[in-house]
Amino acid sequence: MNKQTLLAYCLLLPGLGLIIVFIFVIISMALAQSVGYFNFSGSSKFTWQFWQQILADNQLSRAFFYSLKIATISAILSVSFAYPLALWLRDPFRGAQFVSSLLKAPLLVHGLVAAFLYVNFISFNGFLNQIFVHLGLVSRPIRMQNDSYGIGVIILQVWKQMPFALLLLTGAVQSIGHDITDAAKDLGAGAWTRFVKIILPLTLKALQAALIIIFIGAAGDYSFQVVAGPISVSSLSQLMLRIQANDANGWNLSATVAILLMLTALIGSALLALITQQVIKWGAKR
Amino acid sequence: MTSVLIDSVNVRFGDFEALRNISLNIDSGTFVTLLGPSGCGKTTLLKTIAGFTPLSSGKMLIGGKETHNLPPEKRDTAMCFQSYALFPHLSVANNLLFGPKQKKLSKQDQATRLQDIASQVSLTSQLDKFPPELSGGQQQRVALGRALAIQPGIMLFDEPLSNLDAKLRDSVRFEIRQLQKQQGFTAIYVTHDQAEALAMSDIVVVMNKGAIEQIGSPNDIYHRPINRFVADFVGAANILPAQVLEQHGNLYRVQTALGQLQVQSDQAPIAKQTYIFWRPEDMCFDGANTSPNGQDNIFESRIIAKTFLGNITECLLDPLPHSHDDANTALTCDKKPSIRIQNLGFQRAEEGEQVIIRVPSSNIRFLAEAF
Amino acid sequence: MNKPCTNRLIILLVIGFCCISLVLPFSLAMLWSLVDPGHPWSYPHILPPVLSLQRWVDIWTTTSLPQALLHSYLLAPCVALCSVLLALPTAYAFGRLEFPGKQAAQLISLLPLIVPSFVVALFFSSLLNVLGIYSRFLGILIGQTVLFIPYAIRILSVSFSLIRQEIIDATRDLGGGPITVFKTAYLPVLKPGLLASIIMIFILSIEEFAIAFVVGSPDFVTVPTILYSYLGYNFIRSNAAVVSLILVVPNIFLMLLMERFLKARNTAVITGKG
Repeated sequence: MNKQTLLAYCLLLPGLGLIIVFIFVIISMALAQSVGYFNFSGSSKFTWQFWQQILADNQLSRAFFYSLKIATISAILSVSFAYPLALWLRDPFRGAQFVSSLLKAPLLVHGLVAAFLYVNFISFNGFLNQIFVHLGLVSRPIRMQNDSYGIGVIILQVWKQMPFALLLLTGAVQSIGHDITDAAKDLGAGAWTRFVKIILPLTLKALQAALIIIFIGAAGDYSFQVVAGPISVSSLSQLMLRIQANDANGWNLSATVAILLMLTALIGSALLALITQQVIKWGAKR
Repeated sequence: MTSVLIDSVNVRFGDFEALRNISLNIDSGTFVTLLGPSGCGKTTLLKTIAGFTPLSSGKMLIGGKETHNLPPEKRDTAMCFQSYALFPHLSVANNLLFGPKQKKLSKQDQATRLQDIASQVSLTSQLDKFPPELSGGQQQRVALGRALAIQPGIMLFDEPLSNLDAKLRDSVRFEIRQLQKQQGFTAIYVTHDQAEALAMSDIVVVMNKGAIEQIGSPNDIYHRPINRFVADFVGAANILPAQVLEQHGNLYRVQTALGQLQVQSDQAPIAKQTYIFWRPEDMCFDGANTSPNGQDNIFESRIIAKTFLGNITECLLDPLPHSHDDANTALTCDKKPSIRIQNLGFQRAEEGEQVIIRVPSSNIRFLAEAF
Repeated sequence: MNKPCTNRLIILLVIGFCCISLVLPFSLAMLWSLVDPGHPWSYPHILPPVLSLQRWVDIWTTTSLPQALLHSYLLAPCVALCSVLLALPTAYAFGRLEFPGKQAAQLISLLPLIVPSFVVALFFSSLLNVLGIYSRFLGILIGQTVLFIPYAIRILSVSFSLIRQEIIDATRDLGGGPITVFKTAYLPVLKPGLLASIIMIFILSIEEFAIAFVVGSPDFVTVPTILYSYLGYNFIRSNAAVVSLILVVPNIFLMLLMERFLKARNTAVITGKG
C-alpha cells in the first residue's frame, strides 16, 4: 500500500469510520437482542424463542403487508407524478424556475407538520368537511381521518416524497442532450416512443435511486402512520416501538421486528429497482 | 427523391432574428452546402428543414408538400448530428435499426437493412458494441448509418466532421460524397469550413447574419463572389475600393489606393464607386518567366512578412505610394491596404525587400457592391 | 401552434394545486393558531368567531415549549459543528484523493440514510443503555451527529473537488506558503460549502424526530417531539398549529440562505473557468 492510499484511509476514519462502526454496532445490537443477548430483564442467553413468538404473531404479518403496500404504492405514485413534471420542466419557459421551486416546497415542510396540516384539513370539523357541507354534498360531516386503507398515509408520503423524486429526475432528464431526443424525433419516434425508448432507459439510475429511497422511507414510516394512518393496523416501525414499550420481553421482540423491517426495506427496494430495470429494458428493446 | 423549396422564411427567437427572408430552391439529388461563420443561422436553417425549429413566417415545401405543422418524425429527412447524438444505451445494431423499427419494417427487412447499412458504413464487425466503446471515426459512421437506415429523401448534415482529426476528415468527406452519388439522396450539409464546402458541393449557399449572401456552384462562389463578405469568407482575397474612371470595351480603368489599375471584365460594375478584388494566387512577382503584357497591372511594394507553407509561399505586401497619380483622397484615407500574395513553391524574396508585383487585368473582378 | 397556451394552462393548474395543498393548509394552521380559547371554532362557523394571540401566550407560559426550543436550538449548532468537523477529512479524501475502493467507500457513507430511522433510534438508545450513557443531550448529540455526517461529506467533497490544482500550484509558484495557499486556493471555494453544510445539518437536527423521540422521551423535549405530543391520540389542534409554525417558518428562511450559498458555489465554478 503506498503512502497516499494509507493517508486516504486514515482521513476516512473520523467520518466514514465512525459511520461504519455506528451502523455496525446498532445492527449487531438488534441482532444480538433478537436472539436473547443484552437482555435488560432477565438472563442473557442464546434463544430462538423471540423469533418463534413474533413470527407466529398475526399482527406482524399484517404490519408487514401493510408497510409493503404503503411503500410500494407511495414509491410508484411519487415517480409517476414526478416524471411528467420533470419532462415538462426540461425546456426552459417563463416562470419555470418559480413553478419548480413551488413544486419542491414540500421538501421544506417537516413531516409532522405535513401530517398535522393534512389531518387539520380533513378532520371531522375541518375545512374539507365544512366545504362539503356548505356545498350540500353531504348532510353531516363525514369521517375521513385515519381511514382504514391508509389512503391518508399514501397521500402524505406522495406529497412529501414527490418533490424529492422530481429533484432527482429533473437532474437526470436535463442531462440528456437535446440532440439525442431530436435524433429520435428525426428518425420517426413519437412522444411516447421517445419516452419509453430513450428517456426511461437513460434516466434509469435516477429512477431507481428515487424508488429505493422513497420505498425505504415509506417502509420505515412512523410519524405519518401514527397521525394519519388506520387505527386497526400498524406499520412495522409502529409495531416495533409499541412492542418495545408494552411487552415484558420488549427489547428482544422489537429487535426481531427491527431486523424484519430492515430486510423488508432492503429486499423490497432492491426488488422494486430490479423489476423496474427489467421492465424498462424490455420496453426499450421492443 | 426529394426537392426542397424554401420561400421567404423568417425565424425569430424573441427579439433575435435567426433567419431573415430565406428563399432557396434545392433540386432533388443535389449536394447543397450551407456555409457561413458561426452564428450565421446555417444550423437554424437546417433544423428548420428537419422540423425542430418552427417557422415564424414564410413557407417550406419538402417533396412538393407543405410542411406546416409537420413534426420532425413525419418528415422525409434524416439528420447527422454534430455531436452524433448516438443512443448510448443501445448497441450499434439497435442504433442503426432505431429508424427502421419506427417505420414498422418486418423483422426480415430489418435484418437485410442492417446488413446493407453496416457494410455501407463498414461497421459489420462492430454491431454488438455500444457507442461509448467506439472511436470517434466509428461513432461518426454509426451516426451516418443510422440516418441512412431510414432511406430518407433528404440527408441533413450538421458539421458532421468537426470532431474528427484532419486526416480522417478528408476520407470521410470523400465517403459521404460517394454515398450521396450512389444513393442519389438530396444532401444539405452545414459547415463553416470553406474548403469542405468547395470540395463536396454541387451548390454552395453562403450565409451571414441570418441571411443568404450568395448561392452558386463552388466555381462561382470562389471566382465570382458578389460582395466583400463572400469574397473574404471563401478563401483569401485582396479587396480594394475603386472608382471607375473610363471604359474601353471590356477593359476598365479604375482609381484605387494602389493607383490606377486596369480591370478586364465582361460584367459591368454596378456603380461608379465599387469594389474590386483578386485572389492572392492570381498575382505574381515580376520575375523572369512572366512575359510583359500591356494590360497587366504592375506596382512596386515592400515585403512585410513572409510565410513558407510548404506547397506555397505567402507574403504580405506593403504597396509603395504612387507619386505620379493624383491620388483620390476618398480612396486613400482608409488605412493603407496590405496585399496578400501566394505563389507556388518556395520563393526567394526576403522580408523588407522591394519587389515588383504583377496582377493581370483579367484576374481582377468587380464585386456587385457599391460604397 | 397553441403550445404556449397549453403551457400556461398547466402552469395555472400546478399553481392551483400548490395553493390547495400548500397555501390553504398553512393559512388554516395560521387561523387555528389564532383561535381564541374562549370562542371555539367549529361547525357551522366558516371562520373563527374571535381571533387572538391568547393561544401563543398560553403555550409559551403553560407548556414546555420554551424548554423544547432551548433544547433544539442548543443541540442543532453542536450537531452541525461536530458533523462538519468529523466529515471534513473524509470529504477531503473523497474530493481530492484517488485510492482503491473509493466508490465503495462513497456508497457506504450513505449507509445511515438507508437504515430505517426508527430502527437506528431504538437500538441506539439500547446501546446507550448498555454503555451507561444516561445524558439525553449527549445521547441525542452523538446519534444525530453520526446520522448527519453523510450530508456534510457529500456537500464538502464536492467543494473539495472544485478546488483547482492550478491555483494551488500558481500560489506556490509565486512564493505562497501553506497559509497563503489555504487562504487563496482552499478557503474561497470551501467557504460556501462549509456554510451550506452547517446550515443544512442545523435544519436537519432541528427537524430530527426519531432519535430525539426515542432517546429523549419522556423528559427531554425538542420542538418535533412536542409537536408530536399534540398530534395523534390527544389531538390539540391550536397548540399543534402554533408549534407547526414555529417549526417550519425559521427553517424555510435558513433553507433559502443555504440555497444561496450553494448557488454562489456554482457561479464560482463557472467564473473560475475563464
